[in-house]
Amino acid sequence: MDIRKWIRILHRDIGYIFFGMCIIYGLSGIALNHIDDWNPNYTINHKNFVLNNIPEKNRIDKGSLISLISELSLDVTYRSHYFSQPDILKVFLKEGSLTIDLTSGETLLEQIKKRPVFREVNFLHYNKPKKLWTWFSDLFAVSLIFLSTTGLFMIQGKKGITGRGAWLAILGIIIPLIFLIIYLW
Amino acid sequence: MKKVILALSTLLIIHYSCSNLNRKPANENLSEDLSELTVDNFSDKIADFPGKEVTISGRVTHVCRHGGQRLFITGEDSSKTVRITTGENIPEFDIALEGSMIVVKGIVKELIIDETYLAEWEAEVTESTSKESKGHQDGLDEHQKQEVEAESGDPLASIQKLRDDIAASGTDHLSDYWIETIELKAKE
Repeated sequence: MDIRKWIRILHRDIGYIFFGMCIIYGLSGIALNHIDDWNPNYTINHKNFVLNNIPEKNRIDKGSLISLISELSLDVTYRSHYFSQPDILKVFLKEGSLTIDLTSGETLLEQIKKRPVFREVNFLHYNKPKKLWTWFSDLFAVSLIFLSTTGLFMIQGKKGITGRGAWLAILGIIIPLIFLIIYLW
Repeated sequence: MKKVILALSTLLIIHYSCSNLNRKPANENLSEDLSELTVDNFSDKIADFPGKEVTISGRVTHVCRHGGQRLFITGEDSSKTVRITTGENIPEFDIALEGSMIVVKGIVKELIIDETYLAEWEAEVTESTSKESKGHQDGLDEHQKQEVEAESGDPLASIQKLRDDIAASGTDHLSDYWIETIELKAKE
């Protein structure tokens, strides 16, 4: 039996199967590496302005707020409201929220949109579905080990693992070791 | 192989269609007749509940923007809030819940912040990278974390503040309470 032939077949077909998973974990890996710099799940925009025509506190209700919002030329829809502090009104919108200081009129509009693709890949990367996804992602992890190991033996000769391939593989091991030495050990 | 892929795709489409037809804002299995606590009456006696299953209702004031792993609900008195975290059946909270009245069934959890906890945290801060020390804060209440960041971002300062708070409390520890969700339903 030609082992190399089977390695090539398995490497090829398992590679095809887990192409999607590599993209999912690659994209979410980039997103999570930069989690301090951005929110991969939502795009959040803030806008400050001053409201001059706020109704008196005891007259604030759903109707008055819908009327107020309609005058703002904002493409938003009222959902509910409450007073987070005695003089701070929080209005929940389908698209985010308004936080209104009733004494000064200073208002913060927060608009939130779900960020496509990254939200979904992060959901999977964090293993939020659990259950069957845990098994499938474990299978993917084992397959990555298999793919990387079989990948070493795909090519024979000078460019294979007995030549150039060995040096590149060693380089790939040394780089994470350097980081471990510097930052952990 | 083509037939297998076609069969899987068909199953996926059918499952997605059916789950969308039945999809409600949150978990639909919550019993309607469960006697509910409110944030107002729960906050005062929360120390009686650790480990117990409760059903509580309130308005969602905030859903965590990074991953939706926690939300806060309030009642008539908006100065009182209860932190709700996801559970096994609820992978994340949808940000669309903000502003909604919800009913949550869950288990009350307690984190005891005592000298042992603070000493371990302090050891991590002094021995590890700042990233690892931040990780220990995960047990803390959101508001306490915000206090930490607002003060100076210095974990050692926040540890000292917690020590001061413990001393001022007249006990040997502080307790951080939250509810881990079993079921959740939007009321409106």
